[in-house]
Amino acid sequence: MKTLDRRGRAWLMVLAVLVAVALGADLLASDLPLLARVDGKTWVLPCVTRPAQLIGKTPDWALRTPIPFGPLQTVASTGEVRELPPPWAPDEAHWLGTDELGRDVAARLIHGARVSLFVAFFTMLIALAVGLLVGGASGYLGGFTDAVLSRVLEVMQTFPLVFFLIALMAVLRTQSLWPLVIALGLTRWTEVARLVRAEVLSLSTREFVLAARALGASPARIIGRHLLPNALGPVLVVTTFGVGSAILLETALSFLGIGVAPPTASWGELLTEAHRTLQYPGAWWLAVFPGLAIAGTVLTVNGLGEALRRTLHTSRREAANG
Amino acid sequence: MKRYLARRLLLMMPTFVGITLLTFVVAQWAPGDPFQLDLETAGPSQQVIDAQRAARGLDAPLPVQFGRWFSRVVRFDFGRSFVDQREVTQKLSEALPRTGRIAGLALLFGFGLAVPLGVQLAVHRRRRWARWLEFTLVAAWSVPSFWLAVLLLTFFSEWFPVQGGVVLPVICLTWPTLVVATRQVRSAMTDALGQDYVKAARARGIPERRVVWRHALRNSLLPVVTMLGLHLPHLVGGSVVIERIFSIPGMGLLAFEAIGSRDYPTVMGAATVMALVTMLSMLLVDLAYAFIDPRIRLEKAS
Amino acid sequence: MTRAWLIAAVFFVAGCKKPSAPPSAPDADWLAGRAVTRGAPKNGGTLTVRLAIEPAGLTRLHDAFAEGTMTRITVGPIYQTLGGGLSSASESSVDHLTTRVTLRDGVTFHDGTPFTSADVKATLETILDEKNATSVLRSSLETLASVEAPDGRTVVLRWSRPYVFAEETLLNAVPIMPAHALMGDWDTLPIHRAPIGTGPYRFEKWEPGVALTYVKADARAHVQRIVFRFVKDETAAQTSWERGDFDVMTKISPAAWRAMEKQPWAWQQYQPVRFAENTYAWLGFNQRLPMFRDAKTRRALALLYPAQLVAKHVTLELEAQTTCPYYPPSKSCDASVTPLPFDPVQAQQLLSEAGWKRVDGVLQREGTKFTFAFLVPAQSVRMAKVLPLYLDTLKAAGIDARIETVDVSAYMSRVRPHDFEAIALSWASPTEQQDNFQNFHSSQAEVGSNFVGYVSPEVDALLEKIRVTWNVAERQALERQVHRLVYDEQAYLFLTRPPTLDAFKRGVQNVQPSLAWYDLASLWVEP
Repeated sequence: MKTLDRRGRAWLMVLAVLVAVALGADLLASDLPLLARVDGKTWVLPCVTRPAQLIGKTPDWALRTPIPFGPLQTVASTGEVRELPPPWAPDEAHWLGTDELGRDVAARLIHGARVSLFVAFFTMLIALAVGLLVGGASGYLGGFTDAVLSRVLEVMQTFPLVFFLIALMAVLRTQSLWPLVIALGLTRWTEVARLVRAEVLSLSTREFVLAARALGASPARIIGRHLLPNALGPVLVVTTFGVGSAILLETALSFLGIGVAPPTASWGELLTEAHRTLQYPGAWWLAVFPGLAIAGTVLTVNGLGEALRRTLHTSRREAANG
Repeated sequence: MKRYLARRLLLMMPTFVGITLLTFVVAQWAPGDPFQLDLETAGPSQQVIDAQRAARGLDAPLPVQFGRWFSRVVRFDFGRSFVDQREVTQKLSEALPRTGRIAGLALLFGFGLAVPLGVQLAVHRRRRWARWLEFTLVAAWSVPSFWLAVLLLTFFSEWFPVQGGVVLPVICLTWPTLVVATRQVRSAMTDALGQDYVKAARARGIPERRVVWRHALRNSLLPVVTMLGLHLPHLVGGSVVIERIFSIPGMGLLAFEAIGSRDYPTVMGAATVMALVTMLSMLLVDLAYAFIDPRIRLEKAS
Repeated sequence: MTRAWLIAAVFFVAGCKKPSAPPSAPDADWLAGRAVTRGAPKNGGTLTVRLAIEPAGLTRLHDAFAEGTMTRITVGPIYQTLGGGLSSASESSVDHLTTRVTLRDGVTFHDGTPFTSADVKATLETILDEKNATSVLRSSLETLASVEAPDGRTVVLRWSRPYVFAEETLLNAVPIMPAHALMGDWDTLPIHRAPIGTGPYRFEKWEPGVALTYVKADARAHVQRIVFRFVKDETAAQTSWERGDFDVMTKISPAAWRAMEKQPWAWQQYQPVRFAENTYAWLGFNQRLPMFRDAKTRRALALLYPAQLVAKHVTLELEAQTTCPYYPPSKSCDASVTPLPFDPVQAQQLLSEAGWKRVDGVLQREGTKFTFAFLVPAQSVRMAKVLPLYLDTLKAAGIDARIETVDVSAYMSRVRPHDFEAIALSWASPTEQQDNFQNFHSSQAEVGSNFVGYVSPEVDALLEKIRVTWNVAERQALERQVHRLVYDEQAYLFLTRPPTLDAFKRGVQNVQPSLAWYDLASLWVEP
């Protein structure tokens, strides 16, 4: 298989940076320091370990995170007082401004990246797992299994997605992110399954599979060694695009009030809050930055998906010609 | 052809039962009770709530409830809404045309524009402007739809009515359809243009315009038609956000609010109707397939 | 050349947007939200009112329709109550067990049938019928034993025991409907969808999801047509309002209200109206849990509530703090009760008196950590803003509180069986009178509205006595005692009285706020 082209590698780099920001959110923006000395004791990375002992203590010295605010810190804990109440426009203290409770938009955006990307990636991972399993079984086993699974697939496809999500979220909703991930995953696997089934069906008739079968290879081996690796390319492309739509779907759910539960900051939640505060004329920073983050990330993911598709296309054509 | 159609219709039956069953289970799962009332008031006693539940058959075991419900659905009787006591059929008949109008227009404009746009992009794929246009399309697709709706509402509401207008909601719904369809047409066309029969047609001296719009397009329409069928449930279901922002009391909003108040008859009526619409559109897609590509007709009939 | 065109176009657009009248600053009345009336009454015109929710039905008796303020607003112009124009006299026996109501002559329903005592009897019997989903009103009229109509103009009511608020409910909360419209299966009566009353407006049409239209019934009303438009989304409502689509914009958020002061379109086209109905918001801690059982802990929680910050950041100085479960301007509230200040030091002291110790920064008592969740309905925009502030001050005090959002149906199904640690709610009453028996009496902790499980023998005795005290001054004295006790023991963490923030198009005259919103019939529209 050919490697990614230059544009594809560029998109992958951007995505890697985004993931790094999301994973390192605690190191970039936190109410607790990176390194601090409190009451004669040195604390390493309290921003990650979050020891309760530090609440209300003033450190002797501390190395703060680049953005010295946590995502949930309101004016009630920062103690900031200015002439006008928040929302405050971007300035040296708050690089991307604050919302009307004085929460730092940059900090919320960075921690929101973790939530949104977590949701999107794990959604597609679940979709991938279920899709591979159902699609693979359906395509390989055929017959009755295929007939039943195809019906199940059709039911899931025909059922209005958002509708299913709303009901599922009403049932599962807690402060944890997993219900959302599971709900989204359960609505997104059909696309993968359909594709896997089609790929497996077409691959099953190819010479190398027939040869393996003639040589007495076990079904597990045929599926694991021959069918799945070959079907994985197009599946990967679809999954990548799926990550983008999962991010968008999360914003829509937040807007409908059934996404990630506040006060947890997800990008969708940030955008929804901005929508609610449209009445503050001129507080553009509340809407623009989360909007850019979402659009930028989805664009990146789609760029990557497009590049994967190109790569796959060339390698397939080469395989066909060669 | 007739046998094919009959088989397709027969296959729709288990799907339909599956969908109604799924809706029923999902609706029953949700915590909350339709007869839990506003907390501002003292509220009825448990006996009253129990009597209300019994009167509506909610005290029966779930399989029995499903059986009863299904036997009525077959006769297109969804019962009365728990919230406002109106016939669900009536509520649906008010909401469906509203959603149908905007979704239909969005589908029309989306695919109508996508075909010429996609073809142009495929033909001129090596040009710089085509690449930029494609990038713009992807970038535009990356914007959350509710955000687009809010922006349109904020900046263009002076020229279009906010309530009852179709222009802005149709733009919002058309947008993602257009982008997805254009890319589909573009990639199918790109493939088709590299195929041997296109080369052969060119070699025979058929004018390029005819090669593109006749030979290549005809074959690349197949995947686009498939997408059209799969896209419809997204349009119907995905319009919840748009319907909410533009205050259109359509199917999406009806279902959304019904779930919120645990109005089971309305929830299940809405889901059933949406599922039926989708299944019919999938059937139409299959028939269109057969119409476009005679090979499939033969293959499937045998 | 192109650039010149572009600049010209920009100027053209800017020119179009420029308002015709020169901007003037809003005056004092405007800023305070006091409507000023000019001119004499005029007839005709249409009044378009924005509503944020659609009522489920228009009878106001039905449980499922008891949506509080919104249903009251929509049915207000249609029906009359006995106390609101349908009776000429009412007298009670000395033992308060019989009430005799004399009805007004010459009143007819909108469909032409004359109004008689049979209609009152039918309406009340419909409410009392156990089969009907009318239990909300029924619970207030549970002492009503029988209704008799000795002649067409007289109704005699017999009560099973004296209850001071029953008569109030009877006279002012029961909309009277025609007897013939109440026959048949209650749930599916046409009157829910097409109301028939004796009020100044009669029903014209209802387009579900879109609008509800009433038309003037007789000379009591001035405006020809009232159109209630259902616009749920805030942005859509805001945009329509700015376009001038509404004559009455309702449910304006504090932020939008403050923004109005800076926007010429708002002060040129609209007159804001701000007033406080009989309503208050509160936070409740489930006192069945050991964590919240002692009043000291609850007082400490109140001392940690950052009321000033909430006023500055969320309610934008538009809401008055309250301490009272009754209507504050009335004598039922004890004026000497002052709200607890925000005082973390005193809170800390109370908490240690209550046995809480700080271990590694977190409060603990008998080995359990002080940690709990606020159960909040997903749609509550206000609590989504108030609670993050409170959580911060709680956290600094060593209390680990969280927010748990659930959808509205799930919320109710958890509050009723007391499956929560802390909740946020608000109570509202359309009249000055309020029986707090359901909210604070210990007997109501299992089945009634005493969701927080507040138990106080002293308050129980007072509440029981209030129900049989007919002398208003005496009753108010008892109610003042309830107020003091309930606040001292922090039955609720009383927050604020959310005001009604509406805006009327300039030209709408005689806007008179009342506890039951406005009397739409008294309005008129200057062309």
